[in-house]
Amino acid sequence: MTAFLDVKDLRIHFPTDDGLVRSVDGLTFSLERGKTLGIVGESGSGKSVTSLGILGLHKGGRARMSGEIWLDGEELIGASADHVRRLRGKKMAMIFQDPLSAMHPYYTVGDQIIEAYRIHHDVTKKVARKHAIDMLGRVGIPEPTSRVDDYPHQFSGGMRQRAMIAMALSCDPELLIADEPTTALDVTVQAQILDLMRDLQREFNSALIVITHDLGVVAELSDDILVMYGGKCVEYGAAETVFYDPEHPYTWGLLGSMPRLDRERTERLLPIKGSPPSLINVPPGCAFHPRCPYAERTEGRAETEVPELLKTSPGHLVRCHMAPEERRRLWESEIKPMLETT
Amino acid sequence: MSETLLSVQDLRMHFPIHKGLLRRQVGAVKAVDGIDFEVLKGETLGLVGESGCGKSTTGRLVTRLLEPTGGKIVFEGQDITHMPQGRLRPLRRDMQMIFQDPYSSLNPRHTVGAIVGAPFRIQGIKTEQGTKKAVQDILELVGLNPEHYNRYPHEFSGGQRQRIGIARTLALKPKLIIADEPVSALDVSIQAQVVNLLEDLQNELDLTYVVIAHDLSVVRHISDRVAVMYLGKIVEIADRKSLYTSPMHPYTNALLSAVPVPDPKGPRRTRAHPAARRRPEPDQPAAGLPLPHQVLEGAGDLQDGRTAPRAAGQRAPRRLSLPRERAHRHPRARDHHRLTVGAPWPGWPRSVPHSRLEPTPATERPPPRG
Repeated sequence: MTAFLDVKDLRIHFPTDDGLVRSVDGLTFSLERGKTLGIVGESGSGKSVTSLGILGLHKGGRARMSGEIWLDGEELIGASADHVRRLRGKKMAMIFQDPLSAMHPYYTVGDQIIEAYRIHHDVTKKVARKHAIDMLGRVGIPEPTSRVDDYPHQFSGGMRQRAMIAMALSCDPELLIADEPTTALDVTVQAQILDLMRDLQREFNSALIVITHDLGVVAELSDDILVMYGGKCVEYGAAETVFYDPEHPYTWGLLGSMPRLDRERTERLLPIKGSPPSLINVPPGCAFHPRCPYAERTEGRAETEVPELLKTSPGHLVRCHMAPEERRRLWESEIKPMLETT
Repeated sequence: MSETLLSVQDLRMHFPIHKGLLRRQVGAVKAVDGIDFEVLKGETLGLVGESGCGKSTTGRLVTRLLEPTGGKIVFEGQDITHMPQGRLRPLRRDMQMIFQDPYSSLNPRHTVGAIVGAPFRIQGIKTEQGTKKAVQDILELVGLNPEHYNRYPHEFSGGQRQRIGIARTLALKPKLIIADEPVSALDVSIQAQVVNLLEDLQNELDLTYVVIAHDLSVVRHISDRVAVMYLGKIVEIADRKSLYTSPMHPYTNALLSAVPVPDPKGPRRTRAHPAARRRPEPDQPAAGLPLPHQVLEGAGDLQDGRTAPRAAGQRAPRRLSLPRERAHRHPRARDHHRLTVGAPWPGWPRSVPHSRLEPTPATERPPPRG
């Protein structure tokens, strides 16, 4: 029995004048209906490229994709562009980060939702319009009957994001990918959007992928978490496992970098040194080793050998050269106390 | 008791709205509408609020990048509210700004050396070993390689660029630094580096910061005192600990409870408060008016005589300011005053459940040096 969404060894490479950009390099994960996967990572870690890859939005000439993407028993890589286009909207949909650039400025919000709906449903404009109004109302746009004829610029940031969600959900997609859905929004608006996404997911029982760098958002929505670094998955597991028993030094770094409101204020943040690698020159061996404080514990393997993504406990995968016992010991004795006290 | 470095009294910035053939002024966007605060030497004041609340405008007013339409700004005992640019220039040495976007705040055609050396050039300051040496020292101070003197901004990553911006800010050893969203454009791991750098520099150089940010957790980490702004007004100002552990104003409470908790099993964020939905949208400033006060209509007469200009589509003048009588001093406030203003409108509950903040005392930073 395969999962609803099954991604196996996905690779998305872009040949450029400066060299091959390995944006996604061997990513494997699966997702069931009604569940949420959070993909976390810094800019340039390959999060967004992954999501566009699943939707088949990379231009064939530019991107080299390999691996397998099974959506509800259908292989998407290698499928005809026309076929994938028919799936987009109905079977899978995406909420983009910046709704202003994702919506067409010349068409009213309603027209754009109606267009999406009519592509997948053989209905009259009138019925589709009613549906669009209904969707806008569902996502909490006040007076949807009149706002349906507004242009995107007449909406505020939060409302535009809601309209984007309405558009993405208009055909009840079974897989919804949200790429930084709340990054550009204020906290109070973010809270509403998060509530909305959770409610709608419950209602439609859709599978949800949330891509973000905000660990708070991930913790709130996700069942599983995938941490990406340099185009590869470095840690993958249930949300509780990744938050309470993380084993990868990069995950530790992310947790230590973030000031937290739910704990006492720490005297110092514990940042990760250096900066994220360029995907053209991913460091040899473990991509994280130049920034890893524990790289010397691997007897030089970190610089030469790419670590495997190995299972350390049921459902918990980590890509690190250190022995699992050593990682757990470090986390329990050094990292965790530092994050929780001072 | 530390001395006051900056004091702002009843500061206002009303941007006029012109309409019609004659471009007559029909109203005003009250970006900053009568705020008072003081910044003591050596402390960090955080200024939080949502987009459009006037926090960035406040920063620009204080550094006199904008001419205020009312109120008073006193810097080191000097009234600089309407000081002409010529007399202001020498003061700019003591008052600098860090900008949000490290990509657009550095001239791409200038080398790092030219960018960080510009303040010396503009202010006509000669240093003993020459400007180049001084610039290289500063680069080293902010954690950059002094050999990068001749490189261009595009050769650096976002975090490094922000360091260049900070180096330029520090060039003339200012007393007050206004940092407008200094880390929000950076990656999480880089944010932490820059936050730590700002704290180290403060300890080393005895700096005073006003940090403007929308990220409540960053502000809590970096500030000694925090002011919460809403629609051009400060609704609550208090020391960090009491503001975050026992917020008095419902708006502060609503803001704090909206932050998602990075803890999957932890207490869930309370659902978005319906009151928050009624927040006026910043891109609909035509009304020129804060919305919640509309709901206050009929809640009593205007307390201090300020009325709103009649803007397009409005039915009647509405209350603009919150009643002063309802402001009260918080008993817990010790050194600094803690001002909270009453609920913006009847029906906004006095307290939104706010279980996440532990009431236990956080480790205190040493008191600001005086």
